[in-house]
Amino acid sequence: MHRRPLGCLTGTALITAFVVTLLVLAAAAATGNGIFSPGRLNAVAAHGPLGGVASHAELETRCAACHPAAWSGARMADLCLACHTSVGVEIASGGGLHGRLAMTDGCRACHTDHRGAEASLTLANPSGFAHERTGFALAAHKLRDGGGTFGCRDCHTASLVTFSAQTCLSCHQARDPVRMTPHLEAFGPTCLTCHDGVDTYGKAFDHHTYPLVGGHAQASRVTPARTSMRDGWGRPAATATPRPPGLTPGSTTT
Amino acid sequence: MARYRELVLALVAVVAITLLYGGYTQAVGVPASSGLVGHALGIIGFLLMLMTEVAYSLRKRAMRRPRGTMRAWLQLHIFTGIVGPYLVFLHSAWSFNGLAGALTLMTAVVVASGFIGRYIYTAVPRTADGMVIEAGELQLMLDAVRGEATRPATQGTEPAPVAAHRRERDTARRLRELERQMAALRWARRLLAVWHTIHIPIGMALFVMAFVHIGAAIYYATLLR
Repeated sequence: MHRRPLGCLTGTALITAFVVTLLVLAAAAATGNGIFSPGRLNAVAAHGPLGGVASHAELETRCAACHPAAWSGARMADLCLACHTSVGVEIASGGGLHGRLAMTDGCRACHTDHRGAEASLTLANPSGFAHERTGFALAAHKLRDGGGTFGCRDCHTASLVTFSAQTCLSCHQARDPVRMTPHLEAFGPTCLTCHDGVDTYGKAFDHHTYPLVGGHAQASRVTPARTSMRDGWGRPAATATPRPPGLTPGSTTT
Repeated sequence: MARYRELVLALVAVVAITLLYGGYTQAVGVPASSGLVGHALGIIGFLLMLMTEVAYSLRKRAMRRPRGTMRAWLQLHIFTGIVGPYLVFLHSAWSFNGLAGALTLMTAVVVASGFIGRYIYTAVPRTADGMVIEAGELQLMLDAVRGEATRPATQGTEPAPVAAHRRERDTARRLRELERQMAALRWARRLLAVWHTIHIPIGMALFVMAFVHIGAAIYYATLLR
């Protein structure tokens, strides 16, 4: 019996494969490899012209602007930073949001594109976001007074990458005005100077407001004495809980 | 029911996949093509489509040691040829841009062509091994009936005129039936041949586009990180 070749090896199939390959190559050349784009690029001109374009959408047919050739040795993150130079400065200095959050996986750990002209360039994954790396942990801000969990926009009212201490004040003043008023008078409205979300009060905390006694004194890093001694809520230290008798600041126990 | 078994099974699989996909979409959101779930849909779907093409083609040409009947392999071909493209369709995440969009459209065209082919195929009588009944076999049966019609009625207990009339009437009916069957068979075989010459090249175009798409996805989304 005559043995027919596989369907994909017949003349018609091979000619079709050849023609389709030519058509795909022609379409790729005509669109600057745009036929491989999985979706429209972001067209929001948020930061003014960078790298000669107002938004990513202007790079629609210039794939190589973000996707380096595989043999070039460059990574996509290198091309991101070539235009977004201020982000590179933040990462290099270790400051700012990007300095604290720069992932080893490159920009793509948080940012993406090709999701549409209006779509956000930042992948929102609040549950997985390591907020403590911004300098403020959310350990004490899990549940709201009225029930339910906190959402990003509860605190970041204007933008997800900016924060105003006024947000702290408006909420905490309403919750506990008796304590907050003297606290605010004593320490001022720059909450994040002392508070890091887990109440370690940060490195700038002046521990004279809570004199360390006994074995704690050795481990403490005492800063110069303050002229006005107040407790954590801004009240004069005299009204704070008295120290256990026999223990004085600086003394040690064995 | 048994005649449409592969279609019923494919429908059950499609409904089950739809429920899982719907549940995931409700709980998490539409799985992105480039995510873990989206990629899994695309890869499993493509492997099923590849299996649809390769396994059936190989079995059709397995002359020495064929395993399983052609009917069973065709049923598998139809089942994977529906479920695979459906998974690939869900992989698209409702975005049909560029080559990937054209590929989704091409997949739909090949599946539609497959449905048409299945109905033409079932119009052709086949043995268990799937070999088309030769027209000559029908012709032999036709000749036998014709010979019977022209033979004088010498046997039987009925009066000759009545027996001859009945045999002539029965034979004429059988002749018309056979001629109709042969005409339908010739028409269906011709149509099947035409369909085959279209189905294979468009399937080939689909696979060429799919391989280019896979290559581009690996190049742009994996190698260039």
